Parts: sequence; structure tokens; C-alpha cells
Amino acid sequence: MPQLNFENSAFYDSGRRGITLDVKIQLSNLSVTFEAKIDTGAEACIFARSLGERIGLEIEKGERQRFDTVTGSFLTYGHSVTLTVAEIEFDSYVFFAADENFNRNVLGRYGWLNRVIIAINDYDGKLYLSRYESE
Amino acid sequence: MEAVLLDEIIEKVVSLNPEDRQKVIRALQEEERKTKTNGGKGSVHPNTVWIKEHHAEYAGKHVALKNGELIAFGDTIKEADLKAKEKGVKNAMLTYLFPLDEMPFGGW
Repeated sequence: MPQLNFENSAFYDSGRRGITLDVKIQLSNLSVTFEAKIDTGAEACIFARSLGERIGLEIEKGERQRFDTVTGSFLTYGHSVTLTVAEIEFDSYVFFAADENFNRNVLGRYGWLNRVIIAINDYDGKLYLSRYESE
Repeated sequence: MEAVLLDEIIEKVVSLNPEDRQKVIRALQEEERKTKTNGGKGSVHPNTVWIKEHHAEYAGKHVALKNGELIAFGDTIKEADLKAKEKGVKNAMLTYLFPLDEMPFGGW
């Protein structure tokens, strides 16, 4: 039978909407911690603009990238930051919404899901997590 | 700020002549713009600068970057990661550069 071993685990509140985790982003000596939801449908990690500003990013100096949704599209700017979730840290390329009223934070495929191995036990509100280490 | 002081400020601004009132509005708008953009003093990581300059060349590829330099690239994250490690670079920033003619999906 296949077996997976994980470095870390984290509890989340299974009573809340979505699977919500604490996320830290950092640039130089500035960091901010906030909540984000795992979204396997999102192709990238997308965060509120104010979070990028709080670590000193000049949002508009990032790479302009528009994302599609079921109801329309929205503009973001891509930035390289250090991302930490459940004590697993790596440099990642994430996107910050241009619109200051955008207040969703999602951990998506490129930049997070493709860097880790996860297992979800939603019954108990527990997430198991490992950094993917190639040989 | 105390509500009384704020009311006084608003009253004074409202009583200004149109020209001076426009000056106040412009000053507030400029201040607001600075706040939103970190006053032009914000930071940008060297990897971000590299991506802005080279995205078109590597669109549709996975790239491994370190301190603003391209270490490796490939069709999959695994390929880019292994090539970077072969070059002795661990902990490179790995990312996918979206094709320029496609809009990625931002989630539900």
C-alpha cells in the first residue's frame, strides 16, 4: 500500500468556509502574517494589495498580470517574496491585486501547491504538509 | 483625531474659495496616491525585475531564479528544479511564466 510521510501538520477550523491557513510573506526584514484559503482552481497565489504594501513592495513595479474568473477578470502585479505556510518556507512568485477593495487571499497552484505535498483530513480539520524535495 | 478638531477642519475647507479648495483636494489626492504606491520608495525583488524583462522569452516555461539571475528553465517545475540543483543552486525561486496569449484562472 502506498504511504506518504509528512514533515508538518496544521489544524484548521473545519467549521469555516474554505480551508484557511496562516500565511507569512516576507521581503527583506519586513513580514506580514494573514489568513489565506487553499484554492486548487487558482493557477497562482493571489493576495490583497495592502499585504504587499505592508512588506514594503511597490505594487505597480511588479509584473502586470490579469486573471480570469467565472464572472470576469481582474488585474494583479506579480512579485517575488518569501512565503511561509505551516513552517515550510521558500521563495515564491505571488500576485497582489491592483484594486485595494479586493480582499481575497488564495494559495493556488503555481507558487505553492506545486512546491508541496499535502493531504487533507477535512473531517478533523487537519492538513499534512511537506516541502517537495526532488532527488 | 478628535471629532471637534476634524469638524473644524472640514468647516474651514468647505468655507474656502473654489481655487483654494481645489488646492486642498489636489494635496489630499496626491497624499492618497503616495500611500497607495508607498510613495515611490517601495521595494522590488531582483527576481521580479528579471521576470518583467524576460517573461516574453520564457513564456510557457518554468524558470529557476536566484538573486535576479536565471539559473535554469524547463517545461516542468521538476525539470527546472533539477537543472538548477545540477548547477549547485539550492532553494532557487521556481515559478511558471504564463503564456502571454492566455489569461490564467484566478480561482473560484
